[in-house]
Amino acid sequence: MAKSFGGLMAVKGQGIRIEKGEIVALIGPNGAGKTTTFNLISGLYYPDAGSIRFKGVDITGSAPHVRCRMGIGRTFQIIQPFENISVFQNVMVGSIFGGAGRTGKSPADVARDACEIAGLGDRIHCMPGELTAAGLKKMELARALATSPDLLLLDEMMEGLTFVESAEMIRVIKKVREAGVTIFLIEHVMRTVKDLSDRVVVMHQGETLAEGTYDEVVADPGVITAYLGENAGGDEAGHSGH
Amino acid sequence: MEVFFQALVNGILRSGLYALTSVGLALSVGVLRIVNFAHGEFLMLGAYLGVFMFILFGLDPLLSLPVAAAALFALGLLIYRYSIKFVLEAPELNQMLLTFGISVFIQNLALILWTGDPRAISSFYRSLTLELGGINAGMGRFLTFVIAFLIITALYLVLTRTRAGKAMRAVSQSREGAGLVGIKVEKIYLYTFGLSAALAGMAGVMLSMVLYAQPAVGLEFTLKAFCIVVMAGLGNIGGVIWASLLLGVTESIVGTYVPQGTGWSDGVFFILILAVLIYRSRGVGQWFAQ
Amino acid sequence: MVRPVKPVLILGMLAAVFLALAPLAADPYLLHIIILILMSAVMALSWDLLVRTGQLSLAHAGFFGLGAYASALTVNLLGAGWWVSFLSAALVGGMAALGLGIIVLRLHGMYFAIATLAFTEVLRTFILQAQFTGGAVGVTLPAIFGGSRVAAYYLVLVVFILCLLVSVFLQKSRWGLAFQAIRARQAVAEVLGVNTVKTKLAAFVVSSIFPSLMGAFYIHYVTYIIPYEAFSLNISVSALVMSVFGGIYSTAGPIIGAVVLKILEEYLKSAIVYGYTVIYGLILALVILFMPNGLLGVMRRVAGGGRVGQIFRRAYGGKRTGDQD
Repeated sequence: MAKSFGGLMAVKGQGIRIEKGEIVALIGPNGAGKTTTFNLISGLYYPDAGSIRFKGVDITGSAPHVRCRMGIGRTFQIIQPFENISVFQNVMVGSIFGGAGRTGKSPADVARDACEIAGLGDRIHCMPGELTAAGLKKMELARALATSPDLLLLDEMMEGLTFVESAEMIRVIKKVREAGVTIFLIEHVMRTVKDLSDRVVVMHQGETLAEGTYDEVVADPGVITAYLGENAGGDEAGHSGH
Repeated sequence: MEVFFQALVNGILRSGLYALTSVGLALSVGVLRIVNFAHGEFLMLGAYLGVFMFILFGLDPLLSLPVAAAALFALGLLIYRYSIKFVLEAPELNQMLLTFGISVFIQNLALILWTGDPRAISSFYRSLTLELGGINAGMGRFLTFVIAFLIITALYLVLTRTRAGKAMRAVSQSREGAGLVGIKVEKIYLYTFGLSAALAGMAGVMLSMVLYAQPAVGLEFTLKAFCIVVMAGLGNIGGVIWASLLLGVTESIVGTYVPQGTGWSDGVFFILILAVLIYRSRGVGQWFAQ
Repeated sequence: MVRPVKPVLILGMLAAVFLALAPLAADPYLLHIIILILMSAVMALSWDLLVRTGQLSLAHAGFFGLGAYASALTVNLLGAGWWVSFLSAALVGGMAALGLGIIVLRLHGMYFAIATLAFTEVLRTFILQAQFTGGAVGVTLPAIFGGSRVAAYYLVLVVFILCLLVSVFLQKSRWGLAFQAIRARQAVAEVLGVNTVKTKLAAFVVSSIFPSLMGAFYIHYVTYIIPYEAFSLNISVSALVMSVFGGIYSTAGPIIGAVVLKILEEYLKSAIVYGYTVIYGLILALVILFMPNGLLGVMRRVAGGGRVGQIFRRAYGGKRTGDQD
């Protein structure tokens, strides 16, 4: 699988395989191509070469909404609410157009369940502009959940959250996995990666650098060089100190 | 064959005016990230200025050029200061509606003030014709081409050699970055918009030399300039020149060879716009879709 | 939205009674003005249908002219009756929108706006140059219903009601939600399962059928049209300005805008013969600068008692739609 932007190769020659029921973390320095990988899986970008398969079906050329209805849900790192409609209606978009058809439940029920799992509580009738950063992250998650995904792509869900809030988010994600959803997540905070993931994929300059359990990966000399090379100094300490 | 070369020369000469207009639009789109639907109206105002300077004061159109540049520069500053400035952060829809409103306003104001009748100057440039090897070129058309060429060269030098020009280019690359290195982005926007209007104004004066001034002429030039800018790729001044040549020559050849060609050539042009937009949108579209 | 329902209902019923009985009370000139207002309302409201998906179209004049010519030629060349010619206008307009939409709806913002403008100009050139259309001379038709203004009034009223119902349906149904999602963030809407291509295409086709019908009505009502009038940019401009002035993304806004501005226009036309469109340009610029949510936005703010009222409603957890503020 490969994708380039005007001559700059963003993602190249990587093969990632995710098994049903897993939580896989995708880590790597800034600019490693993590979000590009998500965009390729969710269909916002089309690969220049290679293929993407989901549930045994080749979806390389499928439109994003088709992939969504097949069961690929995702969140965005930079939260992108529909500012013009309420939080609940935001979630309803996902349930009406994405997931309700496959569940046999009414879109409103699916949306309500998603809001409850994400822990939005009584905030569902607010406008997105009235939510805190954590509230928006929950809405982002609820929207993706409302599409009833089998594979959920989570892009930096802990970013900007306090310690307590991210602990809650971790609990929520674990609960989602227990419901049978496969999870592929991008994460910067190494503690969270350790807590959550069954397996870790490390990307660097558009390539998969290493793959394995958390302990295997952090011991990999290539990974250490990649990280230290990119973020020399206190940056890394800042992250783990979260 | 002579007919073909004549058409070719006509097309090349015509492209000078296109390039001058389009460079102004490219500048405001590139730096301010705003498409100015009123750009053609600036040109139309320049054309009327050329006509009235000639009729009222007997001023040669060539001498009206600096007057038009100064007047349109000032108008550009005013329009920026009192309207454009306030929608820089607004949704693109609002930006388009605002400049579209300004365009409709200026065009119809001209219609009320000066009627819809075309007005032309009977300067001596019109009567002179240059001839070389059986191919003719009106003196006026020839001059517009040369002057447009000179102005664009001057603009290029300003953009590449002067502090202000470099600052403009920096802002067009990255607003935040330019702000960080101490460039006053607001000021750059203001002057860029003024400069863009001044370029259109000068193109307008030259239009009055070879064709005529009329209220509706602005819209046509807005569309053509837009087409050229898109063809060239945003912010690419060199590309603007090539795209202008291509458009000018295509128009001229269609006008020469297709029966009833002048009637159809507008249609051909708009089909060209559609084709260019669709082709270009593959790259640029994503950029604007966010 | 418990509070505003009653006044709206009463106002709507009053309007319905007025519109149903107007021909009895109005003199022919007044009836003519009401017909023009209804036409403008259909034009503005149908333009709004597309802008709800975030696309600014300048093709309304193109579809108006296309509908006018399609219906006129159906009558003149095929000898069909008026309703067949209206169907043909709707069909031609809808098909053209489908074809154009497939090609240009992938464009965004200014690219789409310019492309739709170019489409209008291509159509006008074609009609001007082709032989069977009558060229620059234009086309004439016998007056519809033997020139009965009352019958014509009821016809345009029916189209207006149809447009109103379509608008309300699109606002309340899941289509409305899809429109809002696409308008806010298209990529996110796609990832959440919205078929953005299909949705925008549907909006464009529906939004284009109404101006085509209005073009058909116009030529039947006025009996004469020339290409420069049929495809005039002013047609797109007035639809757009009425909509923006009243308040876009709503059903009431474009209608209010059409009523106010059409009356103003008729008044101005007697003062300024050419160039009365100047007022549209001015209004558009001023509205964008000073009241980007249009008259409706201002009215809501007044009705809601400004900030205090909003906080009040917010505190009581009233369900709010995206069209407010």
